[in-house]
Amino acid sequence: MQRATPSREPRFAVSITLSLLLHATLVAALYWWQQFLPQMGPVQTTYYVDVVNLPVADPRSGSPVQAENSADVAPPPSPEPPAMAAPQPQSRPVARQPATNTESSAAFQQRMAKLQGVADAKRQAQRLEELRSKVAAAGRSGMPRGTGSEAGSDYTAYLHSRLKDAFRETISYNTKAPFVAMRLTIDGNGKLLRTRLEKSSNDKVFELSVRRAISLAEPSFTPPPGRSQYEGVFVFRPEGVAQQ
Amino acid sequence: MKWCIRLLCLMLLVSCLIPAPEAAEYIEVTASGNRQLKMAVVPPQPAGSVIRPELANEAADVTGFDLAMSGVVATERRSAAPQPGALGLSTIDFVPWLSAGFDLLVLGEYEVRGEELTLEFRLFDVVGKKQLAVKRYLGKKKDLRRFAHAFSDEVLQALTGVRGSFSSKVVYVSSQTGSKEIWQMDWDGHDPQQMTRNKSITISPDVSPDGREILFTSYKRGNPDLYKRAFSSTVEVPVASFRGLNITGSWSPDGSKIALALSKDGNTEIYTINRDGSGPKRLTVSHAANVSPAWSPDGAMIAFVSDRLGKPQVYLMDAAGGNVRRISPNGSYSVNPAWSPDGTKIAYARSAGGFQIFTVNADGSSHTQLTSEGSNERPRWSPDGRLIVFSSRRGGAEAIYVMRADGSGQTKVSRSGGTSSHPVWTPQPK
Repeated sequence: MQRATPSREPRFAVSITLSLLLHATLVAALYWWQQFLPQMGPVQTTYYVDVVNLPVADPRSGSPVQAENSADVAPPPSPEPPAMAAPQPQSRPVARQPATNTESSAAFQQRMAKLQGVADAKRQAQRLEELRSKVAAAGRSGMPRGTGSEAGSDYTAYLHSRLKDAFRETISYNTKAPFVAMRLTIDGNGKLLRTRLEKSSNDKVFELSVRRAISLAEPSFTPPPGRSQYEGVFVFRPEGVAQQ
Repeated sequence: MKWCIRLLCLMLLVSCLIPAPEAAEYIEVTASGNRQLKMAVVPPQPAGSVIRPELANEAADVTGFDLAMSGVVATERRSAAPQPGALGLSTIDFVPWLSAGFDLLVLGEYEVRGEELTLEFRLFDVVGKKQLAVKRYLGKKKDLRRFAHAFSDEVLQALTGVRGSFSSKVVYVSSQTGSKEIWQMDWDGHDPQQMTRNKSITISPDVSPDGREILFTSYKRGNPDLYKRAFSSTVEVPVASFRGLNITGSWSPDGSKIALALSKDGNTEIYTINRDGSGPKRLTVSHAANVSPAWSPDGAMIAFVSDRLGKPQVYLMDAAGGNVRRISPNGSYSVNPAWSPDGTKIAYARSAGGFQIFTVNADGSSHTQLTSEGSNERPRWSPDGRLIVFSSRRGGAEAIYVMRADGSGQTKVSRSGGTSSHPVWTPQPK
């Protein structure tokens, strides 16, 4: 006759139930806590930065090769030290030792590293000079001669930015794929001289909204680079409408 | 001959040698969204000695409401200091309007001499500082609303290239006299006029493409027979008076034929007859009921309602019958098909918590629900396809409502007592 052994299952069930209850209470408490506590995260502030700020008139003006006798030209940049060259040993007073015919192993390594560094610097300078000559022969590309200081290198992008901002306020259309190509002429003082409708999908409502956008953007136009007259064609269309 | 060939070769050579002009650089400016143009509507100013501000205000209200309902522009009634003779471009100061954010400006002048009325409207582009449309109307004082509607149509023509439908009228069935009779009114519910006086049940009107005649079914002789009559006459001519039902008559786009439902052979089937009622030709062959034929604008297809699958559904078939296919979704009642004027969409009523107006592409794709309040039936497109008129029970008694084709701007237009239903738009007046 077998003796009945006490079953462990009821205790196990009780412990599981207790655990579930505790976890559920914890989850409910956390939920309640989140609901009644204000968000403690860092305040996210969005900054809008206008990246089109007319920095340089013509960054590619000038040439890296300078005339020999040009006095007003800045000297070419000195070659940089090689990136991976061994550091120059710092000179520090050392105790005078009796001269010996044979160098120690450490001193020899140091001297060799110095020579290697000098040789690398010469090679890099020579390579840079070759590159400069090559690029100069190909045409304009460099900085030294270029003035590079007047604003308006990206005048078209500047106008585009201003027109886009205004167009966002005015866009209105009645047809599925409207577009308007408008030629803008801006005088040296940044004043809109004339607008000419080059092409249109004949959506009059869209044309009106484009004209209004140009009118809204006009006060923000600045003088073109070199205060010369600017002319460009801008194609207006709703976002996501394929080009035809 | 050789000389010609040489000349041609020379021209070809020259054209090859001339360098092509450098392709212009195009900079694309895009933006999302689609706002409405803002239009200021100024009541017309008196041009003569008679000052009738109520007329001027009514003209401005009519034009403003029409254009606001078009969905093309957002209108705003504005008053301006009276400036007699100030309709010339040179005398208008656009700067205040531009500063106030308006894109368009409607100005006008009126002159009243006894019952005679001269009304002039002008539409200006505030941004471009130019005149887009000008119209002068001469007539009676009672024509004021008609003139204002006509100018609204002109404005839409100038802005979109598609004339508006505000000069059109709406023909409908009203029970305000105690029996269901055919009436007509302006699209905005003004000037209702009774057309039939049969003291019977008169339903399902349809207007001929030339806008001169209407079809309707009347029980005036006991049987539901199909009649037609001219707008300019009171004579009602029987077109189909077969035994049984002669209902839901519909003019073909060229006006030469009429599609209708007849039950002369047992169950209700779709037939076509000539405009004088001769030559009936059966199009559907089905054990079920087939009613409410509606021609496609090109006359090549007919939409109709059939319960051949158990519940009423909208089907399409070729105008000669055959090639039948269902376009409404299975499961729910779908009735009252109506083609859009450009033939791309079909509006219909489907049971979805009461009947609701839906549109579906003509290929059966893209079902769009337009209404959701109350029970709405019998949609019909305006001639320009911008608006849909329908009947609705949302306010209690059935009444006529108008909405834009996208379902926005749902507005009750019928003002009479009793019930109003079965609205149909008349064609644009020539």
